[in-house]
Amino acid sequence: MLLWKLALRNLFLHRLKTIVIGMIIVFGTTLAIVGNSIVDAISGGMQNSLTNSITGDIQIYSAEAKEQIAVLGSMDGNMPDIGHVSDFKKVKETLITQVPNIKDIIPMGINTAMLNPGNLLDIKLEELRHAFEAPAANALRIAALKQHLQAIIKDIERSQRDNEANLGGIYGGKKLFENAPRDIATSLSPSFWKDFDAHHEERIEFLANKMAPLIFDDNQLYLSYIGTVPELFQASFPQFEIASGEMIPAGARGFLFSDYVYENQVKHRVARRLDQIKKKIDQDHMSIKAAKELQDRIKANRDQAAEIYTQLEPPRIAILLPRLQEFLKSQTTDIEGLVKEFLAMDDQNFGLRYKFFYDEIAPYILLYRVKIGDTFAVTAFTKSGYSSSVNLKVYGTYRFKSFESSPVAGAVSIMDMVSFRKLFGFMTSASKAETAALNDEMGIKDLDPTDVSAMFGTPAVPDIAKHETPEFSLTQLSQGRFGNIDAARRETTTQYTRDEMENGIFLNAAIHLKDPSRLSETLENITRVSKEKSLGIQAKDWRDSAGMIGQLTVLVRGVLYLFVLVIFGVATFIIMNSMLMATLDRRREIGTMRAIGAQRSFLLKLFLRETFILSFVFGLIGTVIGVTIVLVVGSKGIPAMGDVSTFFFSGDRLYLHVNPLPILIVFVCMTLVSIVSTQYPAWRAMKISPLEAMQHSD
Amino acid sequence: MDTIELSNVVKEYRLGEVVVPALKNVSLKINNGEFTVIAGPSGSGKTTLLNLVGCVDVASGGSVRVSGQNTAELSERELTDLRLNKIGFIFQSFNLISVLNVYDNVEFPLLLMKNISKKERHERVSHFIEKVGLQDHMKHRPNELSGGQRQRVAIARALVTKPRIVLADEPTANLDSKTGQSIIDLMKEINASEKTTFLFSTHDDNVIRHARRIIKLRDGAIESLGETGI
Repeated sequence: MLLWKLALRNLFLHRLKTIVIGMIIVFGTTLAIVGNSIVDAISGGMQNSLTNSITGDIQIYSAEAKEQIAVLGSMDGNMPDIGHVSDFKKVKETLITQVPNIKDIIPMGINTAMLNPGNLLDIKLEELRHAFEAPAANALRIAALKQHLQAIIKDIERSQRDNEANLGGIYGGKKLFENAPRDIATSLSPSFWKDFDAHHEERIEFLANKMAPLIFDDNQLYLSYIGTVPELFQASFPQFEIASGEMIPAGARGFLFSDYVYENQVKHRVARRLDQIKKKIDQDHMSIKAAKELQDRIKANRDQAAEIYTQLEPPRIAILLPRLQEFLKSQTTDIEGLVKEFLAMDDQNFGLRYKFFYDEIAPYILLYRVKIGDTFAVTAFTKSGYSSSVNLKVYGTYRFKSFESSPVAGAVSIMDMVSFRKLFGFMTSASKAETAALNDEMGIKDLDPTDVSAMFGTPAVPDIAKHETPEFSLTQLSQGRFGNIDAARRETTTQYTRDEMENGIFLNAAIHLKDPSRLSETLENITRVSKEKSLGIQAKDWRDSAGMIGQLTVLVRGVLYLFVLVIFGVATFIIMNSMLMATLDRRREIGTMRAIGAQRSFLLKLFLRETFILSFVFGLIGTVIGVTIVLVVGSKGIPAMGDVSTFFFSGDRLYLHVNPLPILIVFVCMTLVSIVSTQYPAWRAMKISPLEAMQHSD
Repeated sequence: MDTIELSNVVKEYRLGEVVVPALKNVSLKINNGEFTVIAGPSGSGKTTLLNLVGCVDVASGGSVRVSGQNTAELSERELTDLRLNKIGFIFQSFNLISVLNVYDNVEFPLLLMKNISKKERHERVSHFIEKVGLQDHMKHRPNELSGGQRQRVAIARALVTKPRIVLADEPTANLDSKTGQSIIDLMKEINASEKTTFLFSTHDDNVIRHARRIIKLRDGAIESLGETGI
């Protein structure tokens, strides 16, 4: 009691010191509690995002993988080489029967592909080609398209003239286009168009071969995609939803764009920028006047005004021109000038012009380079390094509910497993049978039928330059003219059974658990079963298998703990320092106590009580503040700033929860801090001689 | 019985390279219940002698026996216990614990003793506070008291453990002569009633005049041992 009284009164006597130390303790405790709660929530949010989008609870892949799996990409941005596993059916059946906690296994494969939807001229020529299938019925449309084609070619002529000097560089050799001026002249000559209808096939072919390549644009799309069984994927990942279009029907081959990619890469550039500006104004309350990034977008839109007016067909221009003039109250008479004027937006007119754009302009341009419902050729490099293409219908776009705007998990498109296997260089069952028949015929027996490249002796190292096809070049590939134009027009209509979809080779597979809390135990079980049954797989939890991003919370937590540790370190130092000062201040008093008969241990107890009260009272205040912040802010939710954070928050807001264990740990740490920081001052105090009491000064 | 016995005590302080002798070969005996003053000018070794007797310092040579025990043979812990149980201190600057009130200050050594019941503590504390005439100031803090009152609290604190010896180092130096006189009177009275041995160091003539025995020190040596008498 005496000790408590003394300790309390000493603390009260040195109020300023007590308050300074107290503030540090309060700050440290509050930060530790709130920070921990945030990191916990982010960790949980990320777990939710990852396990419900792509990784599942556990990922399995080949035990012989050269690199560790990174579903969302590794540090260098490449997809790691994780090898492949041959027999999904065996793996699935074995694991499901042997590891009871497994709910579901979804086969997967992740790769990148290129697709070239063709440029404006390609698309218009394609449409014209279709129109000529019924020339009488489509007479008006044919006339409009022809008019538009001429306008496009005139634009080509103009840009050829303007950029003559640069073209060599752009096209990788002037030689390829040395006849361009002559071909343009031919395309624009009245005689070319006079009897166009009679020779439409030949004329269209001429334009497709000679004019379309002259349009330089970055039409190439690079896509990350995941091959899987679409309906199984949809059923297993509850946050999956179709954003537009429809789901790939069961058993069909097809492609689903990631909504994020579709809106941010496939959409018309000008429209995309307008959307981004609108989002920044509406959600982040930015203004064009104040934000340079918005001004830059406006400027980019003005510079690329041509992407609007060249896409508008002349009859549409005729209607739009007076409307634009009226809308802008402008005297300008050419569409080029008007569109530029229109795109020069500011904070006052943005809302109205955004609406006008979507009402009057967007329906008449190529708002998306790939339309939902179209079939297009997806080109990818197989694991052996040669290129392979499949034609796929785009059924729609999908997203993950609650973090749809995040590019982190949402930037991956989806494709059926059969197409994936083909693109990755694995044979489908049909082509397997064909190869087997061929092998029988030719007497080849020992060839691995799963690896097409083995038949051609292609080097295992992916190397485009060494490819044996002499005509092949990257330029051609990037131009999308790789001999599959005809193929692209054929729709793949074959139906596949679920067995055919699932069974065969896969790169990795997502496992969902019945009880996700028993994750580490299940991981061990899978590894054990794989060894016993020679499945040749290894398993990693969602955190390890996601790649770099999965380690991010570990990093964030590390940084937080380091920060808290530093604060506790500073607290220790300051507490120690001021206790030491107080000790020196109280030399006479301490000496008196010693002289009167207080043992050294009495002083140690006194000091420990003082710091204990400090850390307990202020630790408690810090805890109350911390918990209050967590409860108040946490229940309202911290709004996600930007697209990436929605992924970490697994939604628009981060909700915090009070977790008693970390609070207890913080408390224990605080107590340790106080004990540690008291040691030296107490030791110094115990060294004070009772002789100090005898000093004759006051 | 001899309460205090010093034989051939030498105390030297080391100031860097120089060894300063504070006490040179001092031998003396003080009996139970004596009211003794150690007199002498500043620097004559009065405080040093008191420190040795009070077990807050140890001799460089010779032996110091307090209440029958040779202090040189005791551990730090035993010395502290000896101070607590056998010796009461009265300091020149009162040395009260500033954060405790009068009652708590007086109770302090009893709490250190641990084996005294709450009831007895209360009785003793009240008794001695009454004895020094501060019963109306029990709840006051030291900074609310006059110098004389503070020294009275110190006296009560020194006596509350019922020590064999009370050591008082210049107890009146910080007090005016009238107050000093009343403090001396109080101590004499206690000496008479409690049979407590009092040992003062002082050069206050007023105090010296009241002593029953005067030991004179000069330059660290005994000048005269004075008459023994109770």
